[in-house]
Amino acid sequence: MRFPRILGHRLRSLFRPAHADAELQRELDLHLDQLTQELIATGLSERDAALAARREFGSMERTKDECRDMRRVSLVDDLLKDLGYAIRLLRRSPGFTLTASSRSLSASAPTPPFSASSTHFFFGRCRSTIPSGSFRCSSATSPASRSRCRWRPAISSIGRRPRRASSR
Amino acid sequence: MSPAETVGLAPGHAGSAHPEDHRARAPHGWGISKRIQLHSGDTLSVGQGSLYPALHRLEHQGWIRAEWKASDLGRDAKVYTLTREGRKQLERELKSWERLSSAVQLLIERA
Repeated sequence: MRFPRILGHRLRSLFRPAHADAELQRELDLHLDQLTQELIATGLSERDAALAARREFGSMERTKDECRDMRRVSLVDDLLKDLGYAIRLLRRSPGFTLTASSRSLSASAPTPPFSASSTHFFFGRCRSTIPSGSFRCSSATSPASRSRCRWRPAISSIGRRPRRASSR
Repeated sequence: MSPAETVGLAPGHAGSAHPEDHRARAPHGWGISKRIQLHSGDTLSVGQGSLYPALHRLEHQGWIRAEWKASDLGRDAKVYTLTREGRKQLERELKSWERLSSAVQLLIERA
């Protein structure tokens, strides 16, 4: 029951930040008004009481920031702002954007196919059973996993130690 | 002068000295700060600006629930109630606090 409540609270804060901020402002205003009334009851004028209440309360903006931090949405908010800033900067210099994006794509594009193929062809799924320091796959038990380990002789020849001269 | 008078509370206020009143009425932020002051004999005072981040953290963690309701302040206020999970957490925290305070007490007595 706790998780749905937390999720709902976080989603409300994330997608309706203006509403959450308005509620927070209303809540803090109420507190400040009560503090002012209390100070007026001690004999201060309305203006002096309002000023004293503000002083006693401290920085309203800092309190609001701390409350926003507690809602844990500032991270997403900051990320979105940073992304927006980065996009604005990149739009300002299209030549640099084109060069940077083409180079990064050309460098990263072959990586996923290579990673997938190397995992499949060289190691197969029995990779986790390979003892350290050796390429042998000795613990493949099911027929399916045995068939995947057909590459075992070829691989084990890679890892085989060269014969010593003294063995002759 | 009663504790309620020292903090300028009217009878029936959310920060009233009667525990039954506190249980009957869910408190708002202002009432909570007054209660802490009142029930600690004016020894503890939560910083005016530091109460709300703490309340929002508890709400975010699902320990308390907040809703806007008509209040004793003459207008709607955001009132806080413990959730079921919050009550369990409170019991855990109280046990932990009792262990810690009794350990410190023992240390002071034997040192």
